[in-house]
Amino acid sequence: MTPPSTPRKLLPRLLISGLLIALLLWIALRHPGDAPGDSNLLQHETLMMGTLVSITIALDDHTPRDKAERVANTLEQLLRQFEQRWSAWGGGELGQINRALAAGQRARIPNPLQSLFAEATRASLLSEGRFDVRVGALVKLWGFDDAAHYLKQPPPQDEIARLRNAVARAQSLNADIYQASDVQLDFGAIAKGYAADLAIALLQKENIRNAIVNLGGNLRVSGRRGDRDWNIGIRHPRPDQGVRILASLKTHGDEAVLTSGDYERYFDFEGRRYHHILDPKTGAPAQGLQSVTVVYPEGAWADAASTALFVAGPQHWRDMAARMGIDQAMVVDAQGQVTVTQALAPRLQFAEGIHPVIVP
Amino acid sequence: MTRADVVVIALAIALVAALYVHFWQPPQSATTVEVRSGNTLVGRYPLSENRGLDIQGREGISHLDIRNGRVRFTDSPCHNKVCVNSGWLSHAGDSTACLPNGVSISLLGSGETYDAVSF
Repeated sequence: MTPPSTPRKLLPRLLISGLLIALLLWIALRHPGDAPGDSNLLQHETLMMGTLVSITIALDDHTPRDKAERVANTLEQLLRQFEQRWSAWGGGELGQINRALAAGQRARIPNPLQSLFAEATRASLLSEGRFDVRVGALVKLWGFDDAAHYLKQPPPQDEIARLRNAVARAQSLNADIYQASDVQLDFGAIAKGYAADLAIALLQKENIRNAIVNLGGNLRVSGRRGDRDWNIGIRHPRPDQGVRILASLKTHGDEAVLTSGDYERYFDFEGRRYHHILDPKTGAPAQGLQSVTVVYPEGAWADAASTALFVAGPQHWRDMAARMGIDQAMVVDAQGQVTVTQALAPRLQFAEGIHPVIVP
Repeated sequence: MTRADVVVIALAIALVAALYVHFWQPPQSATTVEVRSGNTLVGRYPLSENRGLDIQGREGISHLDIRNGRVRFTDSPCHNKVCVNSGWLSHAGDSTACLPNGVSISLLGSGETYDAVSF
């Protein structure tokens, strides 16, 4: 009878087993990684446009890190110029237009501003005034023009009525000259989507095809992240009630994901929330929805549409989406019920406990 | 193959399975929070270590709390507390900011996470 193994044979076996375990350990441990971020991504973040702006570029052979950094810096400069130009109360072109309007003068619309003026006018017409950039004076009255100006209680009713009526009787923005008393222009509900479009165009001109430009939650994606699609989270409007992310979306090539919610700029008074998405018809915050998300190829239109759907409210957002050519939309109503269109539903992965209603 | 070999292989498989569950199961959690003040990087902090952070901003100190793999603003010298009401953040790709104070946080991690969050 021979012994099952001798010490001479046991040693190599132990060595091989040990190496095997070490190898498996290494494979198991290497995946999560301790390095912050990802070596295949460039993340460029900065505070501007009154929000957190993030540029994400997928690195590859054509896009080494130094090139991505250079382009991200150029892009940041472009966005800063954009912010200056489109700030309703700053020293740039739109601020000058508003000062001329406030002084009762005729304001000339400079050439570089005209295409977004035209887009905003088109959105106003199609949304039957639910989206309107002429609400600037109301935005200011409500204190939503600056995080430092938020009110403790709603402004006086007669003031709201006066400015709302001024918008109602003002001419539409269809000319290169504009004049209207008691009206100020605020492009806050379309400019970030438009800026995301411009940013993606600049990246594509630089031959960067795989990127995300996220302007305070209003984002445009292009291409992919390596060998998979970009994965976009959509925020829950009431994160303290449970999860922070409502659903996730794998993007298909180039598209915009825009969300309008009542949680970005607001104040509470006597148990009610007063937020920054004003209904131009009432001059007060739109009621009935907590958030609206729109997926569409173009950022500016998606931005305007998300506002129009929000203002249209729980009864009318689907008609509004149809009128504006939006087939992928999701809304969360005041009770927290999630409703999503048929075209968007199969693309979303919902968080646990979320039971969406699917509508045509 | 001896009984010892079977035991070693079984142990190895069990170990890998346990590690897989331990490290890969929460696929959407972040590992690190990046904190910025006025667009300069203050630091990167692991979410695995519970701690409080006091971040000097334009208006004063923003307080952050890192706890059990999550992070949140607990207080900030701002009027409307949008940052505090953002709640706990735990997904890579997520971010929030106290704009009046110029303090922002973004969560980093790798694997199957969010590349960006629409809000």
